[in-house]
Amino acid sequence: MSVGLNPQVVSDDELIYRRIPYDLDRSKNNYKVEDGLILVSSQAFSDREMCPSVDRAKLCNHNPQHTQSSPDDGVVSFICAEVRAIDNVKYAPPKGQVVQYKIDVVWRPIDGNHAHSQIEPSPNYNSKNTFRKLREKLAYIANQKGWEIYPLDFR
Amino acid sequence: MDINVLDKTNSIIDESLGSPISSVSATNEIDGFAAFRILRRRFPAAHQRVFWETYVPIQSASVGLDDGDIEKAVKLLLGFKKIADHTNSQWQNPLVNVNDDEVVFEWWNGSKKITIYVEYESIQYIKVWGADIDNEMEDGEINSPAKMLDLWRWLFS
Repeated sequence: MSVGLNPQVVSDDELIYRRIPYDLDRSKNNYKVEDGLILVSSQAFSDREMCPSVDRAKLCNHNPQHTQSSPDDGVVSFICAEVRAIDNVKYAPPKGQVVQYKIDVVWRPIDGNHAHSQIEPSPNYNSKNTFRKLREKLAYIANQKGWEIYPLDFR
Repeated sequence: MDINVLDKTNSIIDESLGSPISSVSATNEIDGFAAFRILRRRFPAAHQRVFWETYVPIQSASVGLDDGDIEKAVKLLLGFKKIADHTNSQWQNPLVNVNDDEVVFEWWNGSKKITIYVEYESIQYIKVWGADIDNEMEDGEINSPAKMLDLWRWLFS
């Protein structure tokens, strides 16, 4: 899957960061305290294009603060291989063949953020529910691993 | 017991699940504050707190939602509140979010979690009790009071 020597390919052992926005006016609620744990919501991985953004740690000096938009934001992390290992995202239409999705982390540098990457499916999702399950899985993994940076309320 | 619980929850749940969207959206043409006052009056005093605690976060993030969508979501939540009351389980406010055209409720209980998506066309759920999408997650549609009761009991049993 990964080609470690090609810098354009995110290698399996790379750390990636995901911003968990702290929303001052509480119009978004990306985490909740439950039994003393600060749990990341599956909604923290929402994305209009269904390709959540992450940053490659090796391209931002392994500094999770790079991923914050505001110093109040929280940050969680994944090992790229953990994301690629999600191999059971599928869509089973009432009639027809089951579509199996390959989940990848793809480097997509943008102006102002050389580390920017995306968690992308192949082929594109054809059902919102499929992406919803991926979000649940990402939130589950993030909650197992804990935070790189806690959101402002919990520092 | 089940029939009793369902009888008591039916009326409010039927309003949110059973009534045509057009009638639920009747407040669309009224300005926001008037719609809010009408909506608030429809809920019994015992559930006013839940109403306030859910309506406000939904409303504050409700760009793209009309009042009918908000009402549908709040009514669904009040249906769950009634189920919690009648099954003597402890009520927990969900985490509330709004994504474009859907309202999302999330509840956790230990290793179990339910996410509910209230959309114009339908109300969908995802149950999660582990990381395995195939064997520890289940999705479906909430289309009856029995399904709501089933989900609530699963989460808080």
